[in-house]
Amino acid sequence: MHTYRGHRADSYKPIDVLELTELRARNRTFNGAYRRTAIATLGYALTALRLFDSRFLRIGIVYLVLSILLFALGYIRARHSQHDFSDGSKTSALYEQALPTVGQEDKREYGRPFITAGRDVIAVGALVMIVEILLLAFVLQM
Amino acid sequence: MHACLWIPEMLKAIFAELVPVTESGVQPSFATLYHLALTCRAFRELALDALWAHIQTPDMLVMWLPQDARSQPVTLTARGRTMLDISGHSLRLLRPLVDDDWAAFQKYACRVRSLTFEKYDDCKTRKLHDSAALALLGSPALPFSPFPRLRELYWNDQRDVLLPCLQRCISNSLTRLVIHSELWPSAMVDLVAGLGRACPMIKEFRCSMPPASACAMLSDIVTCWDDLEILEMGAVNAQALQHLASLKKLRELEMLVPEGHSLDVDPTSTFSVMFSLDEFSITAARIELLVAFLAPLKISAKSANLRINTASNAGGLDQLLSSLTEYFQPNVLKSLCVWVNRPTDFDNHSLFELSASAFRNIRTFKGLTNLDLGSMHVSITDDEALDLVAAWPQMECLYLDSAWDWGVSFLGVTFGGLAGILERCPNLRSLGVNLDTFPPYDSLVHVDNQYTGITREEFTDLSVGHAACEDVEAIGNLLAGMFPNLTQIYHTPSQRPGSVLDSMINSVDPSEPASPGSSQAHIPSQPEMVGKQSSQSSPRRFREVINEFAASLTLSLVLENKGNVARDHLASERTYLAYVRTSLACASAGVALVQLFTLSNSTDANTHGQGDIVPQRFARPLGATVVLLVVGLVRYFMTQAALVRGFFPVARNSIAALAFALGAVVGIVFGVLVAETRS
Repeated sequence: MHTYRGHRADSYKPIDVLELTELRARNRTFNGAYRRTAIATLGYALTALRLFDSRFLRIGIVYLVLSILLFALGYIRARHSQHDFSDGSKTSALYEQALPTVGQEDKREYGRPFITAGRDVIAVGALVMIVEILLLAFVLQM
Repeated sequence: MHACLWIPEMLKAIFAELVPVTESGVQPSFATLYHLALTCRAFRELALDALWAHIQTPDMLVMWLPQDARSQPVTLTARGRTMLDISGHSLRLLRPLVDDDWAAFQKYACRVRSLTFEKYDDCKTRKLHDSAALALLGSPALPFSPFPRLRELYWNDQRDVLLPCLQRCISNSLTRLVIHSELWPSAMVDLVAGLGRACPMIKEFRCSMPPASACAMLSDIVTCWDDLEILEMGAVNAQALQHLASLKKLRELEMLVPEGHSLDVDPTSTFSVMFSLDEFSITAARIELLVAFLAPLKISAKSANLRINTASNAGGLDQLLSSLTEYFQPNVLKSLCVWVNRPTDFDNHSLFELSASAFRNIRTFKGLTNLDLGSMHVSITDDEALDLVAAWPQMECLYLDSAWDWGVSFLGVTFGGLAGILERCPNLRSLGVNLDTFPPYDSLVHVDNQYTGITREEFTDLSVGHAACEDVEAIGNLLAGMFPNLTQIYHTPSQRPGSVLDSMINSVDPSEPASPGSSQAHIPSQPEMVGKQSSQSSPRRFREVINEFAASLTLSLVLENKGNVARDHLASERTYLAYVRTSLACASAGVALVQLFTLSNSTDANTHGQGDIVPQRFARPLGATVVLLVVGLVRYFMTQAALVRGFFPVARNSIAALAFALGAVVGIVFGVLVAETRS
């Protein structure tokens, strides 16, 4: 159970503009960038399935799968950052291994340590690369 | 926010809870107040007021300046955590302060209620450099008294360099002023002389023992103060004493009589002053001075403390103890403490030895609950002790034992006498007598190793002087029978020359090299040692290599979420996703082109009869997509690593190359399209 400033998560509100900016940055990333990528792919999957001829069925399906998986990855990524502003009682181990960033040591601390998205980035990269190789293979087979 | 929290009085009460006053002073919970100040505008002002109300070390003053104006406290950090503060370091100013800085400083200075300058100590970890203190508080850019709402000022700095700061800190709102400076330089004397007019509202004033020459000046300033409640200062003259006696609110008075002081009263005159106080204390350099100062006084106080800083012979003490009834109202006094310093070296202890009859006049104080005569050199036997305590039925704490070793053995109070004392003083909680613990024990209270007398449940502390403890079981049984709740037994340490004292001196060897810095410097090298030891066994070494390899490839970093850190990394993540989208767009374009050409080809085929189109030609954009993706990945991890170190790798060559390549592909595709439609 994560509490926010000692209260339940429902009552959480950003207390000032800086925290709001942090929240907006997360929204731009998870709802903006990830979901936009997934929706664009979904749109193209529809295009390929509906407009293109039957040889492009496989390609359309690959795009559809890619779109669904991108949605899933975006959701997982957002989950990782979900409690970034909660009270840091259970995450003390994280606090111990957190690295400082040069130049930001004395700035305001917003919450528990931030875990960068390296793994998710690799996952997305691997997924897209597989899809592109598949596409290349399918196009060359035609 | 809850409606209650809009009421400032409510908030004030809540924030007052965060500034608890304990025995060791005010201890605000700084972290909570800081977070409250950040919480919302309604809390901000009040929380900041509470946060800065008590300045316990002057280095907190520098915190009000922007970071570039002051040096940071130096700390050694290992893996992001503070390991130790470097001692002896002090905060300085790094640049001359501008108007904005002064404005910020004043804004915070208004909040200060209590200010402490502690004793100068070279090896303290946090302190303000003298130059910074003088630059801050001595600056003409500030109004004359920078702390307009200062109530309490504690000045413990012994040196005179910072006296200009003290001058500036004194504001007319002061109600409590404590100046501990044992040296009393002339600048300090001048400064204190001006206090009478500078701080009219003083309620509590304390200072350390002044030189005799400063006493006349102190007398002058005392007459300026009408609200005094607590006063501790050098001996004042007759006029000031009369002024003090007329103050209704005065509760505690402590007079410090320095060597060479003389009350400027004609000894033949009948000058006398009546005092009515809660507590009266007097500290004198010699017993003659104390007696001379007390002579004209008639004091009605609940508590009296008399301290004499030098040893006094038996005659003087006898005279003082007998004449106490002349100075103090017998029916008011509840607590009496007379303390005489130990003679540094003495040939004949009998010069200092009092007889129990010296205490006979103290019996006049019937209401005494607290009596401390522990520094006297006196032997009291059972009968004398019982005779004395019979006069004080309300006694709670009684100390008649000798607090230090006079080099002789004492006649003591036996267990029978102890039981008698308990019988006569039912409220007794702590007692000090020279206990006679040698057998045979008094048969009245001791039958078959069992105690049969009075038991006192409330009794907790016992001081036994030099009593030996040879028969542990018998004495233990007796004491346990008398005092079932006894918590502490004090025993006067033996200080025979050549035994304890010499060993104490030997244990403190000043020539021993004490350099804390050199030992601390070895701490960072310890992980290397551990690494070397473990590399000797091969399986472990293999695992370590693997771990090291994995560590260098750490994909996700755990970072302190401070300042821009999270936002920077999220932005970098979005940039990566933009690369991914570009890459996917290229792939999609490639697929679309294939379809487009198939369509155009099928329509063209009817008219021109050309053969099947070769889709491989249009798969080229698909090839470019993987390159884009890889560039995006590489850029992301480069940025992630660089951001932690405080850098950003600006993309120049890779962006130029990408733009060129994409431009070329678009150009080729466009050319092919145009050529197809032409043909």
